[in-house]
Amino acid sequence: MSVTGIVVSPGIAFGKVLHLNFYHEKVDYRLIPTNQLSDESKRLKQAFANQKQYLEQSLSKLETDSTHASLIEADLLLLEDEDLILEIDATISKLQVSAAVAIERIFGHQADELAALDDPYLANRAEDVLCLSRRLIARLNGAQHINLSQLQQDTIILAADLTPAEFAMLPLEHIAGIVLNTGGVTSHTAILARNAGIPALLSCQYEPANIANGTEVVLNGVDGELVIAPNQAKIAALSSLKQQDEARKQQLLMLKDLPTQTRDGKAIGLLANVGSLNDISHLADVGAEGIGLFRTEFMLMNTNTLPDEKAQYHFYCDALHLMAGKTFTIRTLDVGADKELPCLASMQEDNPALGLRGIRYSLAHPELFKTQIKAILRAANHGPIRLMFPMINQVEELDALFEHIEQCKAQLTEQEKGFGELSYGIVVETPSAVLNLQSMLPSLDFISIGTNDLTQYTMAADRTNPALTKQYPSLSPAVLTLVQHTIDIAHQNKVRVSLCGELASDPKIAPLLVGMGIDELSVNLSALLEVKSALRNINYQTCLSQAQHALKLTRIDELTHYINGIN
Amino acid sequence: MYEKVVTITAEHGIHTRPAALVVKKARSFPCEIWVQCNGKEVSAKSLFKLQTLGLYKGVSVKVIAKGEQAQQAVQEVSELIITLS
Repeated sequence: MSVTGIVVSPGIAFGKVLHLNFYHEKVDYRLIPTNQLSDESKRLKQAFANQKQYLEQSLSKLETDSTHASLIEADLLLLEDEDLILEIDATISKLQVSAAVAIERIFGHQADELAALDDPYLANRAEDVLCLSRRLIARLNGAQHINLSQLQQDTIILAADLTPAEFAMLPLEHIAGIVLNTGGVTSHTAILARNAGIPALLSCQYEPANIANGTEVVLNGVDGELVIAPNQAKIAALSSLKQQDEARKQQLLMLKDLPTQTRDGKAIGLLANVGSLNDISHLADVGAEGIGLFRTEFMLMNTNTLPDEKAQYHFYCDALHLMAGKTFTIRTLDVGADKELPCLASMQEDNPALGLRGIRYSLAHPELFKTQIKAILRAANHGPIRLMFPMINQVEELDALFEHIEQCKAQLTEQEKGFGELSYGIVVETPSAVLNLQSMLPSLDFISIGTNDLTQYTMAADRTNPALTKQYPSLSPAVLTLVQHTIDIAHQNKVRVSLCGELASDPKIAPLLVGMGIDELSVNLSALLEVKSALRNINYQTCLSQAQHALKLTRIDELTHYINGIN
Repeated sequence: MYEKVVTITAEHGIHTRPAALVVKKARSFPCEIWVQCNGKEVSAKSLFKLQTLGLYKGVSVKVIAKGEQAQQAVQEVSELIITLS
C-alpha cells in the first residue's frame, strides 16, 4: 500500500514509523460551573507557562539569529503578552467556558485578522498562531511530549504538522524521514528538512489509524510516495533505486557548489527554468544561480478563477523568499497557442500559434496584464526581479507595455502601496524580434532567446504537429544564424544575452552556445548539473571552434551529425 | 491626551520582532498608549494586537497617549517607530 505526497526534500528513506502528534486536541464546549472558572484560569496560566518553558528549551538548542530561532521567538513573545492572557482570562469568565475554548476563540480571531492583512509574511504568521493555539490546547488536555531521547535509529516521523520548535527538538541523527499530513513547499518544515538533508513528504493524506507505531515504511522521495509495509520485491526495487539515485547524485552533486566555467576559466551564468514554487525550492539542490525563466502561466493552469493582485503578490513574495536574493526572472503571462487556461475564456482561432498569444493577449486584455504587473511591482519591494515579455515583434509593442507599467506604478502610488523597480527584458522568439532588435535594445536590460518558438516561427513549422518533426529540428542552420545575429547585436549594445529554450538543456549543445557568445543559459532543473558537468569539462577555445564550425554548416543533417559526433 | 503621526520606514514593516520593541517601550510608561493605523486602534502594550494592524513600510500611524507621562510616551514611542529598520 502506498500514499502519495509532495516531495519537499528528496531522497529515499527506510525506517519505522513514529507518530509524533498530540491527538489530544479535542475541545469540550460545555459551559463551566461558575465556581470552577478560577481553576480554568489557573490552568490557562499553567499551559502558557509550560509551553513557554518548552519553547525556551528548544530555543537554547539553536543558534540565535537563525530564521528557525526567530520563529520560535515570535511564539514566545506572544506567550509573554500579558494583554493576551488577560483577554483569554476575561473570555473564560464572561462566556463561562474552559480555557481551551477561550484559547481557540481568541487565537482564532487573531489568525483571521492576520490572514486578512495584505502581507504574505503575516499570512504565514496566522498559520503559526493557529498551531500555537493547538499546542496550548493539547497541553490543557494533558498531552506530554514524547521522550525523543529514546528514539531508535531510522525513525520515520509521521505527524499532522510540525512546528519549528518541535523540529528543533528532534534528534536528527535518528530521523530517516518526515511525513506530514499538511504543509507545502514554502512551509517552515519543508525548508528545515531540506536544510537538514532529511527526505520529507508533505501534504501526504495517510490515515494515522491504519499505520501503527513501528510499522516498516519506505519514504520514496523520488516518486513522492509513502510505501507502507512493503513486500520483499518492493523493498528490493526501492533499495536498488536508492542506490542508483545516491550514486548518480553523489557524482553530480560534487559539482553543485563549483562555479559554472569552462576548464580554462570562462564563466557562464547557469540558471533554471521553473514553473512552480516547488521547483524553486529545489534550486539549491542543484546549485542553480537563479531563475532564468519563471513561467507564470503554470500557476494559473490548475485554477478556475484568475488569482487577484493580492494572491499573485503573495505568490511572487513566496517565490522571492525562496530565492533569497538570487536572479529571479519572471516572464509575463504567456497564454494562447498550446497553453490554454481553464480560468480564461477560450479563444477560437484558426491558427493559434500565429494568433493572440504572449504579449498580444496581454495588450488585448490590459486589466489582466496590469493585475500581474502590479503584483510583480509590489513584490519587487521585497527582492530583485527581472521581468521579460514573450512574443514581442516590434518596438511599439514595447512602448505600449511600458505605458501600462507606468500606469500601474501611478495606481500603486495613489493606493499608497509600496513597489520596487524592475529590470526589463524580452524573449526573442520571432524572426521579426531578431531583425528589429536594435530598436528595442535601448530600453532593455537583458534579452533571453527562446529557441523553441524561434525555431517554430523561423521554420514555419508547428512544433506540436507530429508530421513536421523533420521541418522542426532541434537545431537548424537558419536558427543558429539568427541566434548568432541576436547575440552580436545585443553585445554591440552591451546588453546581456540569456538563452532559455530546450537547446540550452542539451549538454552537447550548451558548449556550442557558449562558443557563440551566450552569457547565460537557463535550463531545466533536472538537466542543470549535467550541463554544468559538460561546460566544466571543455575548453573555451573548443567551444569557439565548435561554434565556428557549426555556423558554416548549411544542411540540417550535417549539423545534427556534427552535434551527435561531439563527445 | 497627546498624539503624534509618524511614517514607518522599516524595510519589512513592523512585524513581530520590531513590534516587540515597541511593546516593550510602551510598557515602560504608566499611561495608556494606543497606536492607530488603517482605521484601527489598539493598545501599544499588546504584541498580539499590534501584529494585526498591518504596519508596512510607508504606512502612517498615529501614536496616542493619555495619563501620566503621556507626552514623553508619545515622543519616545513614535521616535522608536521611525528609527526601527
